[in-house]
Amino acid sequence: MEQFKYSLSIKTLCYIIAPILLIMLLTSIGSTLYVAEEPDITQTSSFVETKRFEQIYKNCLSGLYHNALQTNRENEVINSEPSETTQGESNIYINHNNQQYYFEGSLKFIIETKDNKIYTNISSLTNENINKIKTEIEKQDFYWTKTQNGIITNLVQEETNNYYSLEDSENKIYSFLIKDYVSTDTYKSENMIYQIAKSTYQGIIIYLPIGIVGLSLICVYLIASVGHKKGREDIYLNSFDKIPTEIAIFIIGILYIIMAYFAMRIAQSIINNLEQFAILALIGAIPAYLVTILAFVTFVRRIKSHTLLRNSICYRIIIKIIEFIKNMKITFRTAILYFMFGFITTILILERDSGWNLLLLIGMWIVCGIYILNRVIEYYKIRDFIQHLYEGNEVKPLNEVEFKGEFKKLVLKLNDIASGFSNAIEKGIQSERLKTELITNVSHDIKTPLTSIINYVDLLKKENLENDKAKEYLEVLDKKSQRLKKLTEDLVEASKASSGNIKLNMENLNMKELIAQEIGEFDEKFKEKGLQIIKNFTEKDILIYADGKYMSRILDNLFSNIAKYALPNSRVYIDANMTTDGIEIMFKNISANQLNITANELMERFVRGDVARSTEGSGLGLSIAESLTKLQGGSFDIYLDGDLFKVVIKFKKIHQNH
Amino acid sequence: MYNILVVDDDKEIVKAIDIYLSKEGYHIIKAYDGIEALKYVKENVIHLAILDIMIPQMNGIQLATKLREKYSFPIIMLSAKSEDYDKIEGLNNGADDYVTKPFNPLELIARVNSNIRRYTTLGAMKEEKENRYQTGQLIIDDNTKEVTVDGNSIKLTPTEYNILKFLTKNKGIVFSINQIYENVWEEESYGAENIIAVHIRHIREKIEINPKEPMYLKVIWGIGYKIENIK
Repeated sequence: MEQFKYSLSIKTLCYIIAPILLIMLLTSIGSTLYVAEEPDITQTSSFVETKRFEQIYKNCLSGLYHNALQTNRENEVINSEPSETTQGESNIYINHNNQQYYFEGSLKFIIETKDNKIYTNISSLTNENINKIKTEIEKQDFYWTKTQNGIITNLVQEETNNYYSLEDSENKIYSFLIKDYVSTDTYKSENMIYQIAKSTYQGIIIYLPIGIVGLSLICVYLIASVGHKKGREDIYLNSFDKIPTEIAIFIIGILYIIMAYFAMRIAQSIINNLEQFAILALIGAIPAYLVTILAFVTFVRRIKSHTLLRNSICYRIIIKIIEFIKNMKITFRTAILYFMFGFITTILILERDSGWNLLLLIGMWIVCGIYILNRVIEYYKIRDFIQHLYEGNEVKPLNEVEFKGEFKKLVLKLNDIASGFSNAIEKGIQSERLKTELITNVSHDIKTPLTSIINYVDLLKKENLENDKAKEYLEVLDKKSQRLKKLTEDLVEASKASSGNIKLNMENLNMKELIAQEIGEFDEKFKEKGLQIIKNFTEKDILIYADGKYMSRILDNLFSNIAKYALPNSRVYIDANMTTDGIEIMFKNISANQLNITANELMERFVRGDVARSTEGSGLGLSIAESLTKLQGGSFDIYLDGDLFKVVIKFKKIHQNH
Repeated sequence: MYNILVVDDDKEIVKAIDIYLSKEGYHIIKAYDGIEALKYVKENVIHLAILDIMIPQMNGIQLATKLREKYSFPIIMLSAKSEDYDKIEGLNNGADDYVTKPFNPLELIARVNSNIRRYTTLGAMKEEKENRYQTGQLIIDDNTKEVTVDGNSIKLTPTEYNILKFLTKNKGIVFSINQIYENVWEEESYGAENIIAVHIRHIREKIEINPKEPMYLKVIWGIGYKIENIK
């Protein structure tokens, strides 16, 4: 089957067979119609026997009669020389308005008007032979005369619906027709058609189906195979197929017009020679057919390669306009749309003489309303999405199908951002978790040997050592191993706190109680340094929503900082206030050492106020406190002002439902 | 003499524990992996076991589960794993106590003593008497004004005694500092919070083995204090 598609010879054959079949089909259709119109074709043996012949005789005669009388030109009466006639005795009215009355060649007539004017198309007619011709009329094959004696004819008199009623004429009319058609006229061509119809109408049962089926098959085959060429997957387009559709249509149109012009010119010159005309018509049909093939092929190829529309100039212009609008700034676009809407509605309001305008106006308003409503809904969806994203919630990507135009572009970008965002967060969490795991594992490995160190140092201390120096060294070992222990514990805690790898048990806590409890824990240490705690609470109860265990750890770190670094015998202030935003707790103390460090640096891990790191501590206390506060939804800030060391912890106001 | 099984793959730690507990008069049976430990348990009468979690052959948790199938002696887990869920896992799998490495030798000894006493004298002082308050091994006799933990007499100041008695009487209930003050002193508290908190810490230091991780007197941070109700 595929080979058929690509075979050039089959295609050529099709193009040759197609017109033959077409002629066959048209002929049979024509015959059928003719038979349907003139059923007596089956009973008659020649054209002159048919009703149609008589009808044409009368029609022609009446046409001639009226042409003759209406032109009514004196110089064209009897004896005027027939001019420019190519057919000898055809027509005396040639060149009348440049029209040729070719059909009356075989039909001869003489009209005598009341005022004795004579009109005729018998060129040999003279005053001498007129009476002879008149008397011999009845010897002719067919004749029809109307004199004062009435109508004399050998035609079967039947009522015919002539446009010009000869019967009512006041003039004398003589007319006759000879059987053998010497001139090319209606009788000859009608006779030809009659002969063709008579000879073909019986074969219609065969020709019609063959014609229809054959042509349909050829059409289907050609439509299927046009554009396919051996060795090519795509549709083959020649250079004509590539020129824009409108230009192609124009070229084909021009070709048709040129051919039609020439056909008309040629037809005019040989109008009276039927045989020549038929031959020339057949020859002329060949280029016409070729142009038709060209049109058909290019049309099919264009449709198949989807270039019919796309390769048209109109389409390109429309695309350009759409692109231009799309590339316009949204403000400008909106302005144009708004202007157009305003313009159209204004016109519709001003031209309010018909009910359709009102209907159109309401329709426009509804459409615009729906459009604006849709945009607003889309806007709200995007707004909610951004709000979720901003709050750090997990978000489902927006369905871009639900959005149009600018919003669609926005949604696509937004989805990208959201997925990038969640990926980054996920990666961050993962890496923090890995870090915490690593630190936890390492600290486990450190703790085992450390256990032995601490235990054997302790055991050694219990041995009765004589040497004082050995005792002193042992003291150092004891202190440092204890510090190492604390350091590993703090390290794990700091990494857990900063990675958020902590399970919080949130509840309502009274900060007043918590601070009192924590002060109780540090009582001795504060007293040792002579630190005086001054509490300044404005409210009876200071409730926050937090985890008690970790809150106590925060205060623990702060108080041990104060116990370590505060100036001995100074005052420590603890203030707690309700502010408009929430609860603010302030810890203020005077540092014993000069603080030549920034607050931010202090909060970094492993940084301590004393650069020498001589004092005990891991340097993680403030960092842990900050991380834990943030985990519980609070804020933790350090302020340094000279020697004043101030920590401010803020928590949101408690909600009733907690 | 009580037999204590110590299982840890770190020989120095086992030896150190041996030294400490031998001084307390215990007989130590040393094992360095799970299979070995099971063998000794079959061969000897064990009164208490100290198990490390990360040991070869069979880890401490599995060992504890296995031991619990047949034996009821106390098990103390001793591990470098110090996370809450490690402790919970250990305690849920048959351990009675959990000590983290590096440990304080005194704490370990105290916990061993406490567990041995509880195991050997189980149910000895269960009967309720007039004016006597008890939770776990913490007993307050209001007639003699005597407080004992694991049979050891504790010396408390009168204020500390009153606070402890009030909380033990109402064991399981959380009281804020003000409530404690008002109930013990029977008057409005005014700025006495710190004093009460200090007293409570002192009590904790006296009655608890590890005051940082109290067993009886629990600190509910930001809410108050309570005496745990232990059956």
